[in-house]
Amino acid sequence: MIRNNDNISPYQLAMLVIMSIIGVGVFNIVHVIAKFGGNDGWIIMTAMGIVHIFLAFLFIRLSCRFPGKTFPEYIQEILGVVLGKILVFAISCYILLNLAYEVREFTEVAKMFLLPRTPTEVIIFALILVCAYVVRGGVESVARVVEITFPILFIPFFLVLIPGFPNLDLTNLLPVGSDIGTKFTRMIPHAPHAFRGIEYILFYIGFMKRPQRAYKPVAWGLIFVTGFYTLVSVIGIGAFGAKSATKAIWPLLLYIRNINIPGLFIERLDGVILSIWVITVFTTIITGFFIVTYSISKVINSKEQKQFALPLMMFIYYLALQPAGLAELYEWGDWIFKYVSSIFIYVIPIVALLIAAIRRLGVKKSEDF
Amino acid sequence: MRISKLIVILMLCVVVLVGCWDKVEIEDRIFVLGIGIDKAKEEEKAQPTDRYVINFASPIVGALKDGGGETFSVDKTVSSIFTFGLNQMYERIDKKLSFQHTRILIFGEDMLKDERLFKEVLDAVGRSHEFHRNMYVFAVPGRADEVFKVKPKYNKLLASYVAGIAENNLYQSSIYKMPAYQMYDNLINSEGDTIIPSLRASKEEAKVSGLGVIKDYKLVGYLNDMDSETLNWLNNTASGGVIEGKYNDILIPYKYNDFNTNMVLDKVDGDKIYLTYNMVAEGSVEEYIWGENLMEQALLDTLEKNIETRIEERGKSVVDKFQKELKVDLVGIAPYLRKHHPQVYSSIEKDYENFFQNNMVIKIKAEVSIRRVGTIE
Repeated sequence: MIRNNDNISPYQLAMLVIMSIIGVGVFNIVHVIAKFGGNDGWIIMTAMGIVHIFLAFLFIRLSCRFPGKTFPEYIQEILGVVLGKILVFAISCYILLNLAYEVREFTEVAKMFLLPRTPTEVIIFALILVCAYVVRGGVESVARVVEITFPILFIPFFLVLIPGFPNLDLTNLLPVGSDIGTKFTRMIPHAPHAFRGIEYILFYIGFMKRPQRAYKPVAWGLIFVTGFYTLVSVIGIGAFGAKSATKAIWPLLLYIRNINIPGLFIERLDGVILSIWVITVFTTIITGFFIVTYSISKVINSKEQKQFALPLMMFIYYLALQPAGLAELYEWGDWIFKYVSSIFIYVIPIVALLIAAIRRLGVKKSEDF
Repeated sequence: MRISKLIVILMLCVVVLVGCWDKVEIEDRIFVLGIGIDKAKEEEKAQPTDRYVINFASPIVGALKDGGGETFSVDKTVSSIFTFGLNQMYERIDKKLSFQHTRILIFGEDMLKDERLFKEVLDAVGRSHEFHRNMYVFAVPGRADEVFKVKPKYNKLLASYVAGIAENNLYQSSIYKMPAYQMYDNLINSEGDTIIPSLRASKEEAKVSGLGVIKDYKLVGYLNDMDSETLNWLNNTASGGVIEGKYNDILIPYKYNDFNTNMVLDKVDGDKIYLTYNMVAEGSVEEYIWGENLMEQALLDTLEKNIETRIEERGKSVVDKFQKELKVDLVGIAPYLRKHHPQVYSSIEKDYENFFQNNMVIKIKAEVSIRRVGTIE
């Protein structure tokens, strides 16, 4: 039997959405939420999650106009070949930068807590080499790895969070909703901090047999992500209060370090959570890395994407080593997520959808929806 | 092509097989269970720049297993910077220090009176990834190294002995329990105010007795045992203890195992704020006098009234102490107003300290129930 290996199932799409959005920032996100959203950060996070679900529906709508095609292919129809290729190349560069950021943040945290004497280069190299190997396997292997790692990641993650619940003081969430308007406006520019990776949907839907069936898994995936962020921010703010949570760079990690289970064979749980967290980083990188290789192959018009994995790995490696340290990395990250990400996540897909609608490109309404 | 593949594989071998950079065997670790920090006296200084005297208590694993001999050792180091002191230890021991399981952090009185030193150590412990914030914090009226001379009777390890006392606050509320994360939260939220339970040492035992009050990162005073228990009531952190009641000139201990405090804002009148602490206690009386009957609701009602007045008096006196003497709000009013009455809070936030001293009228209302009287009538 000859099998077409370039298909992903709706369930795998949901996993891809979850794993590409929840990334290296899970420890840091509470800091961002508490800093800009104060004690109402969790409400703002929920609201933003809902907005992003509708945004994702727009992405699906765009993809449904071009069934069987991915973003790098149909954007060339929408904008013309030259402009489309330039745009796809720009997006690849941006995602590459994003991956480098993830790799470097992971390395810095791992070096601090787990591997102080292991050279930075070795940690980075080991991580992206494995990623490159998965990505060479094509979309199917990426989807399968993500599918398998989902329960391995989240079940222990929630289990580790539970023993700290008695320490939570939920009155720290009070007063609810005071001055929420200003908090919203302060938080909105930082939305990509939490939801970057949502644009990968544009690419992965093209691999589905029937893109019309993407609504449900994407919605579920994003509901999970929103729920996860809300839970994490309630925990972070509940445990410390918004002011203390802002003071810590990784409040969630501190929360886990504050858990004390005397008598248990592992008294400290931070080692557990950090090793689970490696999986998050890994899946975030492979989902993005595949898109980069795939987009580049479409820019060059080559059939396969796998030959790009190893050369592009070098770029990630080089970019990841550029920031001087964590302070510079976070400064750059803030700038990139605030301005560059917003363009690629919000502006370009919506403009593309508008142009496609105006030029009446693609299938207007598919039959079997 | 084949040769280049081979070269790549061999190069990978070099990287992969070089071994683990971060291997530390568990036998090579010393688990520091207790840290004590003092301000260095002139005669202790090895160099004129030295400022800290740091004591570590760590278990001697061999002695713990086989019995006999000293079960823990105390090492002392003098340094100009806190982290220096930790690293200096490597000149004297053949193992790696590990702070993964540290249980207690003890400050000497001089340290707490020196704002600069206290802030430096706070930052060092709060910032470094090696420390976690699960340890209990204590202040010693005197010097922290006195505690490290104690040889506990019932416990082989000093640190777990002291930590065990802190955990006894479940049964005796005069012990105030203060984990480091709580202290950091207090210090961040109130910009420099917290309480630290105080620890006194004698030859064979240490005793948690009262607490030290920190205002703007400086020790400003102590409260005694009884006030410490009252403060636990006010902050709703009490969970068990004994209150003295009186009936017909007989002293009766009232043993509570549940104590809940609720704060209510009664009214805002002009520039005065009226607050009430509602305290609800539940428990039993298991000591009276031989031959007398305690199974009488009328008697118990009178006794409850008596205990209620006592709680109210004690609560009032401690609140007064904080308002008039110590001039710092550690009785939970600021967080309450911030959380439940944000508008009121934001109007007084700027001049809060002044407002707390002069314009807050605080009432205490206790409700005591005696549910059980023991096994005889």
